[in-house]
Amino acid sequence: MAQTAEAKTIEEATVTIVSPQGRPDEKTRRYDRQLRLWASSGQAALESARILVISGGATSTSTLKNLVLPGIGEFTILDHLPVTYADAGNNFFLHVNGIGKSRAEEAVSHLAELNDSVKGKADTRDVNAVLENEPEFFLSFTLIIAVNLSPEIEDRLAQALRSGASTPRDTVPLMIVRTAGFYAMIGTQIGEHTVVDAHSETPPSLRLDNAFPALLEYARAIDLDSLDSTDFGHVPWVVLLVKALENWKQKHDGQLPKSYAEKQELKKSLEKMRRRGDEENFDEAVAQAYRMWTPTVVPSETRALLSDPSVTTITSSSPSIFYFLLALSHFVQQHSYLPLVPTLPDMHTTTDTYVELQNLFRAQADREMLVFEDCLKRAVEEVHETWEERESLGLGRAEVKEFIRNAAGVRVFKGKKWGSVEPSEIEASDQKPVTALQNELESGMLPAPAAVYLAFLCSADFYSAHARQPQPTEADNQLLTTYATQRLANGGWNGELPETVTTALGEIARAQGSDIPTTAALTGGLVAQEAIKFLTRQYVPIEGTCIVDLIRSTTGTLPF
Amino acid sequence: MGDISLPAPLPPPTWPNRFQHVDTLLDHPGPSTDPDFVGGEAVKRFLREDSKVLVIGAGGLGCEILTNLALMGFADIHVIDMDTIDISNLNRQFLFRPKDVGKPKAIIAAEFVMSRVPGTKVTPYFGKIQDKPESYYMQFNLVICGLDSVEARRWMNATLVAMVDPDVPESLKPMIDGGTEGFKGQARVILPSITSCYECSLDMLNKQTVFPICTIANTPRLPEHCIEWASVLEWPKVFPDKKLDTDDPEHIQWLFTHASTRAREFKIEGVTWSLTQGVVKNIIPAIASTNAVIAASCCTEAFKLMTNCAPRLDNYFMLIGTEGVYSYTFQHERRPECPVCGGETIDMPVKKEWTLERLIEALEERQDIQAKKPSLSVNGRSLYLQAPPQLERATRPNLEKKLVDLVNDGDELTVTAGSLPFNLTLRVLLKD
Ligand SMILES: [Zn+2]
Repeated sequence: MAQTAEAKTIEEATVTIVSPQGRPDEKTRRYDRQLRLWASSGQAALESARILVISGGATSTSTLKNLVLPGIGEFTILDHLPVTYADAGNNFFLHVNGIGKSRAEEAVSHLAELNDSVKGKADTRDVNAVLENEPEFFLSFTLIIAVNLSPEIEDRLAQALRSGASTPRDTVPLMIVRTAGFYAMIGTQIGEHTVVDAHSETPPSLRLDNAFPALLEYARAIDLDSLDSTDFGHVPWVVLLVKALENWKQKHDGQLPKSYAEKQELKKSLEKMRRRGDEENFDEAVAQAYRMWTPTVVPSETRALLSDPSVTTITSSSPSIFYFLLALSHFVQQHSYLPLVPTLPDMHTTTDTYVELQNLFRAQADREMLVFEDCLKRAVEEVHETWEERESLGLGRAEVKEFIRNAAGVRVFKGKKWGSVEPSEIEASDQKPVTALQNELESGMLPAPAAVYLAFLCSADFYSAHARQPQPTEADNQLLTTYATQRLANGGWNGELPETVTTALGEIARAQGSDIPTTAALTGGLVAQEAIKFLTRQYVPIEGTCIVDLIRSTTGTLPF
Repeated sequence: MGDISLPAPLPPPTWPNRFQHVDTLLDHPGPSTDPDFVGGEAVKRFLREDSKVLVIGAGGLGCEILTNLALMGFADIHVIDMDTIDISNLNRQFLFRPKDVGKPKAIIAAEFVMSRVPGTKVTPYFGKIQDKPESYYMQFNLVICGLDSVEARRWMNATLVAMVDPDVPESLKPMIDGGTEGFKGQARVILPSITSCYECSLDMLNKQTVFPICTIANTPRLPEHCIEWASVLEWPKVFPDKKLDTDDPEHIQWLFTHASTRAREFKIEGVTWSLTQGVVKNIIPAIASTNAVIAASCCTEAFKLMTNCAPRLDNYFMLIGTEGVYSYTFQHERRPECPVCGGETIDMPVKKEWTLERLIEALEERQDIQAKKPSLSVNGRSLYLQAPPQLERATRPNLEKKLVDLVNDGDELTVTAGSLPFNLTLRVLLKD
């Protein structure tokens, strides 16, 4: 990772928390290592989160540990069971002294020790009873994590969250987690989810294929031949590329080089501009030469997003990000590129030249920001709000700048249901793993998540039928095989069970639904990462179902 | 798993059903388990009574590793860490509390794990891994590294590879290594002399940004250049007798003030306290969740290696959590010319016209070698020695000389450096 990219993040991370002169306060020092990732905006989102975790087993507490430490606002553990001897053995947040006491209360007290600024609550009711009598209870949380519940309760919970949401946008995100021995599964139900900052590692485009007028003028004004060797060696690569490309365009009807041969020719002409052959600025220019022929475009994901109905038909109740996206679509219609992000990488040149160049980029970015604000004004007026109220709509200057900086990384996920809810979808639910399994077998690649997913489904079938976990016996293996054959047949599979499936069934039977500490810790880490992404709306969260297979030491994500 | 009908709790170290969950994996083999695996009491006894493992590092990964090992039933755990607890550790190092700030990590972590998981024995050592002789490392079944230092890992790796005696199977100590950065991380299993080793993959590391001195001194452009100017050039000039302590807030304050002044002078924006600290301490972002994933992966592998209840990771697991849950498991291959486990000499093509100094620069730039301030000799004759001062002075004139006047084509140079935990043999190939 380049120091410059990292440095920018560091600066952004703390500039709003710490006054430039002052030393960081205690809280900033405590959270320093995470603020360098998600900045104060992400931290504020975490601190206002209210998280519900259902059941207080090892995977639950392992997950919560990773959320309490970075400082979520509040968490609740819902669990009516007492601490058992087995619990005290596999769960770091339960102790053998607490045998027989409430598992929720014991776990909360041990977790709360990790961070004084986090509030923990124990709720000792049975999740079944709450679903029955007070389903609205679940709607008061920012995120719910359901661990090792029966599929029936998972489905009811998912249903309660869907029917309790007035719009898909308001659906409380749900994470469904199951563990068994070396296996784990992480599923999600989300409503509409917006990523405001994907933290893409692709640096913003400098648009050198088509330099903005002020930059072009600046480059033209530099007469390379008249420079002494010191100045010649300090012409920044950005200028060298603009000059080389302009020459090319003059000879080629204003066209960019297209074929490989043409690109090599342009690169050679750049090399020919050298005087000695070892100028550092030219070394850099050659390394960056691709920027000359990489056309500046609106990324396809952004383009698709801008034509989405959630963007084109905003209402006055739409969150501010949709106003920005509508404005962006107006902007893109005019310009076919995104507003300029004035992040100039370091380059071999003098201080003055670098600062000068940086100012050129900043001035251009400011000009484009004003154009963008015009587009934003139009968007605001389209939904009959007044531009004077921009601040209260969350559309102030600071937010505009923030949006432009992250515009290429904005994503909107349309959401995903959990469980087989509609009768018409029941068949489809068996179809999906079959398709995934087929793909898996055809590619012959590791990992094999579909087989393990199927094993989790069959284990649940077994539990529903027998009210116990399958055991590693001949009889139980036979039953699991029957369920698997049935499910695959429903999904249109004909033929023998593939070996990946029989292996996964064997492991599921061996595991007997156990929640072993290392699998719990690993799963808890992954679930917490995703929870943080959902809460902060930063980084790109999982789309689909994640399968952890620690026998093969792999994870894989299924697209459903 | 219901067992609450049992009578009053038994005193530690153990109690019924304590390992009910873990035992599912030790009582029966799975379809992928090695046919030699025999489930039951013997393997449990070995794990819970006879095994002995070493954990290097009691920080972000170390806290997680110690906890996992204790819960999985490892009997005898040792931990080495030379650091004391800082407030910025508390966002992830969950065995520490604000009252522990300033105390040794290894000791506090060991005490906490022993109090929470009764019957576990954790022996801390507050110091450096280099303090311990080979005989110390020989007592363990395996070593798990949860370090943030490349240098310490290289040392541990080279030590464990050197310990392998083909006639003594127990001399082969698996090394499991974890590392994280933000939402990303990796875990790997190294079987010294069998799989690729840490040194084999040195070129996979991100190249650390090094700012040329001339940029720092003459043409600063980034806020980082101003900070480096303050720490690398100004500090030693102003305080010739005081070593810069990047943990001392007064020192950071001084750097921050001076870097800010220089930045203003050059019209450079963006020097902040946080950036100053980030640059001089080379801070890597770190969060609990990623550490949990990587540490758990390491401990899963330790458990599998120790019990043989499932096949081991062969040999590299990489997690990228920034876009969905993406991971990649692959076999990293041995590098035949690896200076630690390969034994073949490394070829170094050089130009005849190069000076010795140019060769040293080229050597320092090589990502697969990473030698800082190397000393060189050929056939027992010193070409350049970095220390002691009198020998440095004596060999300094060679720096200006052309290679063609110092060595013959194909000569094998011996390279030593503080960052190299071994002597490197380099074959120079003189080219026109
Ligand atoms: Zn090696």
